[in-house]
Amino acid sequence: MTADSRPLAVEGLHKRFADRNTTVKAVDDVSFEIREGELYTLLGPSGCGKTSTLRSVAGLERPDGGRIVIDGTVVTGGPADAFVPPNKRDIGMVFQSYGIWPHMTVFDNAAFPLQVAKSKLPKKVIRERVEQALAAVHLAGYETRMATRLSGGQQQRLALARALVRRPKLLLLDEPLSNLDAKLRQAMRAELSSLQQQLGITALYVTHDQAEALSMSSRIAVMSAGRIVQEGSPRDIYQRPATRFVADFVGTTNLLRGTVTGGNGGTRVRTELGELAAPETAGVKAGDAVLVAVRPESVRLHLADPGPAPNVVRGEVDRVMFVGECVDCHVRVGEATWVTRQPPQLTAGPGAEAWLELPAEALSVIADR
Amino acid sequence: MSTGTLKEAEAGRAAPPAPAPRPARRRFRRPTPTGLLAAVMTVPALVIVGLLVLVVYLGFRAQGSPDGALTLDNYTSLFGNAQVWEVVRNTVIYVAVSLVVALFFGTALALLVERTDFGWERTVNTAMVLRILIPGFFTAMGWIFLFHPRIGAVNQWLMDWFGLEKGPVNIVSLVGMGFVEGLGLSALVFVMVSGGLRSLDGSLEEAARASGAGPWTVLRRVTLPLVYPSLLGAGLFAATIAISSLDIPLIMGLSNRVHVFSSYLYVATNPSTGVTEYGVPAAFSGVMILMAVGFSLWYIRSLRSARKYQVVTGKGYRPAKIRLGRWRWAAYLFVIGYFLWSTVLPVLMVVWISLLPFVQAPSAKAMETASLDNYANLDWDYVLRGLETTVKVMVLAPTFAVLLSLMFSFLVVRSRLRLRYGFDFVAFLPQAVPSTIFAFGALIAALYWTDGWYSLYGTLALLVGVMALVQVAFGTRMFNAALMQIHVELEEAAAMSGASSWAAVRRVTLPLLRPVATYTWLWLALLSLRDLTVPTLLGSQDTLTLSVASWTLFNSGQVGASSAVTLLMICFMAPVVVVFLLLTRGRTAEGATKS
Repeated sequence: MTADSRPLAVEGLHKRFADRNTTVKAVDDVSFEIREGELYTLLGPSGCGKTSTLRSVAGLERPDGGRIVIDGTVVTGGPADAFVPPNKRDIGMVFQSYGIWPHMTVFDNAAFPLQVAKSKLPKKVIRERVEQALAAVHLAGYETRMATRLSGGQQQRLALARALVRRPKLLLLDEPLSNLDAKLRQAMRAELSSLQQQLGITALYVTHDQAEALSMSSRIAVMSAGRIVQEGSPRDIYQRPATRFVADFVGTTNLLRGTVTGGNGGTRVRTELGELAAPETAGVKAGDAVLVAVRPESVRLHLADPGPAPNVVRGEVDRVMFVGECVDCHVRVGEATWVTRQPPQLTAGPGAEAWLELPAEALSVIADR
Repeated sequence: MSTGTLKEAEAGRAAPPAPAPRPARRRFRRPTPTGLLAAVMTVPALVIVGLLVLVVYLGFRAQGSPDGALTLDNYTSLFGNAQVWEVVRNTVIYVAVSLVVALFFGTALALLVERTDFGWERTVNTAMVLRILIPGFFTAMGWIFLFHPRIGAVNQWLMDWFGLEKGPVNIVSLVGMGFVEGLGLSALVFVMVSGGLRSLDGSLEEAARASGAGPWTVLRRVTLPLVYPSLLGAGLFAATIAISSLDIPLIMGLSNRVHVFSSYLYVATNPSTGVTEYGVPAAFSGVMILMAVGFSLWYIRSLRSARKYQVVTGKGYRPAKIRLGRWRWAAYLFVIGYFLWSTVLPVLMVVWISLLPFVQAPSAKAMETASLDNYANLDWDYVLRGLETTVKVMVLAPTFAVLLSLMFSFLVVRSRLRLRYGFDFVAFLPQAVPSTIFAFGALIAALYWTDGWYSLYGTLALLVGVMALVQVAFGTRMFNAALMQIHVELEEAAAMSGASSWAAVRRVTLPLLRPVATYTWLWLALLSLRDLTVPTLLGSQDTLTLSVASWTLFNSGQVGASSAVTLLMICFMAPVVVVFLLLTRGRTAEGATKS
């Protein structure tokens, strides 16, 4: 399979905005590809360029450079400096505010893409396909209702039906769940994910919500300041953050500064809390300054001295916060305060002595630049 | 619509002031829809600017004729001529009195309705909208019949009761004219200020009250400073309208030779001696244009800086209302008195006079002479001709105005052209520059530069064209606000569904704009109906509207007939007003701001 026959290939995308006298690089040399049936997520804080990238793919924004290929068709850039207008791209899109037209019924909203299509479809076919699409998002029976009389979650699903009704090659999702309340968001996450897998849709998803990205994506690209800083499966991103930014942005992380002392089937790092064993890490060598990162839930907390064991550091419980399904136990280690996630039965109180065991396989070593 | 602004900034949708430097690929592209629209809209924009430039240019020509010699004489005589100075002085006094009266009554009523437990909100709002629609010359006549030093009914009664030599109140003075104009404009101020009060976050005022400030202190320190933009806007618009409107200066001032700017321009363009002298009027107008442009720039700037502090939650949250308690009767007295004197009594007086053969104060004796003779003896051919023109103007002018405004607004709100600010300003100009000046410029342009089959002088086309251009200011403001309310994502969603730009506009944007378009059209239609200024300046025998007919009758002393025509006009207006009120029921008359 060549790059150009992928559902989406983005190469060297650039987009600048003038801001007073300076130019802001909103998108700075972004390249990625999406495979058939994948849900590919651009994850990053606001201002990282993820939305500009998505809007460039949609054709709602014109990038300053780079090439975008949708299913073998160059829609932006290339030798001919093409620019296919958004309405002629084979895509569907779900907007953050849904973009549901308030003056139309549910049916009219969903039927719109078929009604404006170049090749006129018979009314009957349109009706069938709209009904199918609405049924897929559990909105069957709502056809004649005015779109404004739907709840937030229903509007969201209608937006999805509208985006899918003309069976586009690529589905674009721009923070589609951010306007929903927490409970509904969780439910929609599962629904969206199973719908995507059932229908085998290829999707580009933009979000700043790491939980959304981790739970739904096939692959994630973490973006910062207009660039992709790490691309990988959700597990990779979470467990093996490549940079400090990724470690910080995705989930909560305890970071510890150190120096690589050597590696022997693993990486050994000397820190102010002693020498720690970590998994083998490509790209770091002895003498490199690194950060050791460990997730709160990976830390094993002992209230009694576990005896001589590797990767144990001593600390003092600072505060215990009950969250419901767990407790967040903050432990003062040296100068820093670490967050550890413990079962809710934990009995320790502030001031208690604690030993933190850091399992070697749960540590990740990040080059500290 | 609650999408984060951060996100918009991220996407750069907040439209950068200058396009980013593109790599060198400025090759020919098919013209974009917005580019095409911009090209089309350049024509009306140039006409608006052109008319003003023409007037300024004529100010530098002898006699104000395009082929006169270049000269500065007009300006020297403008500032040296005692007669012109008097007009300047009169205009200043007249406008100042109008503004004080309009701002006082308008703001006081708005505060009473919006911030106290007075009640009657819907009623007062509707009454105020109706008040804006009542033609100025109608109330002017009413006030003359009430307070003219000689024929005014109230003056006559006062003289009888107290044995006075002459009427104690002289309404046909500068102050009187300003007072009557101000009463009319107070409705406009009311609508704008109450709109401002409604959009204000109520918690700001409650916070002040919770900090221990009394109602007066809150009003002075928090409420009024926060509605400053609305007050400023209302003041500016009221001033422009006071300067441009002809009705009150003509009806109340012309016979006493009390001239203000608009009536001065009218006399200059309709000279009794037959010698046309446009030079000094053009120079005078030039100064007015300069002031108007200066004021609007200042207004736009202070609006921008005011917006920095503006806290609008959009939740429509209103603070707890001030209880009037035992002051309620005073509030009733104020509101009832206001409507009685500003509207009800003048209207009743016109009705009364329309039934009489000559002007008399209401009395049992006069009642005996009352009849419908004035109506029966009307020159119906004349009236029907006026009605026909009025209907044409009323349909055509708002239609053109709405179309032009829609296109201007699309450019201003939706395009990313740098020129869009220019278009916005040009569309705002007819609001800032008195419409008298536009009419004056158009008159001369038509007189000198159109000829033969394309002659525009005295045609309906010219009248409709100028009225539509003048109305563009109001229309653009309405559509700008409406378009900003329509989230861009609604249009983008159409594009993402495969709709072309035109299909997106036709199927999504225009249907969403329809309520505003209907509202704007109806409002402008009603204003066209009552307008006296532009039809008087541009009209000919062929383009006589009802309002001009009424004024002509009044001017020739047929006061009863004039009153009758005016009342017929009001009757004719009534069904349109009813449609308007029904359609806008529940909506506030926020936009109803230009008269």
